[in-house]
Amino acid sequence: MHICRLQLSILHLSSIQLTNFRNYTEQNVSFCGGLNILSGLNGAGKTNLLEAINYLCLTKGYFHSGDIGAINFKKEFFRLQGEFITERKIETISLAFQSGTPKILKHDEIIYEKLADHIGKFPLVVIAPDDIALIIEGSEDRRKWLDNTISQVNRLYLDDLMQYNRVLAQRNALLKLWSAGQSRDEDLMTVIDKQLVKIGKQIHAERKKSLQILISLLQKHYAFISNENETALMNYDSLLNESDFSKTLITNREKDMMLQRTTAGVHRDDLDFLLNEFSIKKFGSQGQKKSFLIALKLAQFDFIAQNKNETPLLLLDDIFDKLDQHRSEKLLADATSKNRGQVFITCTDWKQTIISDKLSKYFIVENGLIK
Amino acid sequence: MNFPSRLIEDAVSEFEKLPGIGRRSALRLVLHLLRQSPESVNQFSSRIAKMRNEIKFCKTCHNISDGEQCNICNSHARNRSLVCVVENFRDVIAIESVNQFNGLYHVLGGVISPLEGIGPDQLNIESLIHRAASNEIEEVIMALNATMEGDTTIFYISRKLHQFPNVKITTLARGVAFGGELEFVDDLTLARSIATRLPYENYLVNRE
Ligand SMILES: Nc1ncnc2c1ncn2[C@@H]1O[C@H](COP(=O)(O)OP(=O)(O)O)[C@@H](O)[C@H]1O
Ligand SMILES: [Mg+2]
Ligand SMILES: [Zn+2]
Repeated sequence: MHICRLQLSILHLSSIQLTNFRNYTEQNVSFCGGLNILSGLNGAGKTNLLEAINYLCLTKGYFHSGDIGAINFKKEFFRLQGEFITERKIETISLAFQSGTPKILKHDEIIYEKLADHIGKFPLVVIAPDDIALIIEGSEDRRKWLDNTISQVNRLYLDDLMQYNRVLAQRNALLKLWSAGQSRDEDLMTVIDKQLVKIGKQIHAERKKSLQILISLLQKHYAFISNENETALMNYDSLLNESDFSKTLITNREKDMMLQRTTAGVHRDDLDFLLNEFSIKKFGSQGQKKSFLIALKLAQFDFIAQNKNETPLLLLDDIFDKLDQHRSEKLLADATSKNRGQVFITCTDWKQTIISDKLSKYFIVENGLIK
Repeated sequence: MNFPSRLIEDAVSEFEKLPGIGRRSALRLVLHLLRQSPESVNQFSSRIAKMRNEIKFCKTCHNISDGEQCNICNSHARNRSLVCVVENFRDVIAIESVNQFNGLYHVLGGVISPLEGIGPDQLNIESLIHRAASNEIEEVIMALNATMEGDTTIFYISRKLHQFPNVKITTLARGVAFGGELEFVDDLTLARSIATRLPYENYLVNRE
């Protein structure tokens, strides 16, 4: 089924080929540059398809962590290939993975030396039911979200993050050696502290700067989604906001040695999600939480779009089943607006036939097959 | 693979231990040696044993050497006020092969990495500080890999060398390769090169 209304020329995934990926063995699909609506029963493979798209854009899964589980149960490897249409040309991305070896990612047949070099080339935002973890789980989920957002627009930031984690691991290793009784080389710790502080400050500055923009976008979208007069906010909670990171590391040195890990730094940063200044985790209703998360993701979308001058792909998983009618309609209205580019929507039945001015294409997913 | 001869079997297993050599290639090498005269195979094995038994590490720079001091440290043609600090012998060979550097070396034997249990004590850092104390050295060039651990090592050594204010410390330039076309430089190198850009005057001087 095909309804063509408007031709788009912005970044989009025009086709994908899945081999031995989750419940797909061999599948080719062509998408349109507008709305792609995938319907099918639970367990058919809708989310798995979105997962494949996430792999091609960001080199890993969104819904599951770990690559081994993504290989079809009966197979030894998986391979994904996507053709992206960009302003310039058609670009082919392929990703192959076999247990025990590194993933091989190719851009027009050229192998990436570092997977990180690919991040941000084809930006993407996912809105899914599991996102609630962002509110209720620990700080790591929120940091990951923020890091994912900034990394998609800033290659140096991603590199800083990797370097920070490397130095942090070295520092923790040294703390372990010390606590195991190795003679203490304070000079070495000072040198490692200096490296950690330098990169930590860069990360902090970038997070702070990005959050200012993200907060105003969040407020705008929350107001649109919820129709209520609450003010959404997120506070950046970081030791580096007020304290001198370098001094804190020195003060904590003894404590850190006892615990064998570094207790202060941007690896402990958090975001406080607030509604009218109250913690949404503690006081928010289910509905408020859902609105907040959607607004957060749309803010992420706009942030990436503004910084890259490119419209990210938007993946909406199960929004009709997990959201009430009011919110899903609002989200749909937004997703089909002219600010958005290519959108993928999954749902379980045809009831909600989506009517839009956008170029649309419908698919039925059945037991690892797409029609 | 089963061999009719225990002797062949043993020889094959030895070759197999070499990096990049599988059992098949090992057998090919052994069969090749078998076709040679016993004298030439004797020479082959004795030279290898001799290399291993008699090789020394230069007591000054820790480079591989035939005697107490390596050829570079012994040479009168080299600039003794300049010391280039490298991770291993391969780096010495690499720098020597471009014929640009006329100073001396100091081979650390690795970089600092607590994760791998390598601290300053496992490396030849103490002896570098002794060399710096001798007053002969004016400049120490840190030619270490551009990794976090390379940086840690550079900072650590610099800290130790601060006590000798006459010793200038320099590091290798990093960034876009000369002759490299920007279009083909990887994104990260390009982004870093922009972030750490240099004043133009500096560039002119360096191009001399
Ligand atoms: N590695 C795998 N190999 C084969 N099947 C898998 C694999 N991983 C998940 N599945 C199957 O995929 C189905 C879930 O697909 P999913 O895309 O989440 O469904 P939905 O259409 O409801 O989103 C389940 O039946 C699950 O058993
Ligand atoms: Mg699903
Ligand atoms: Zn020497």
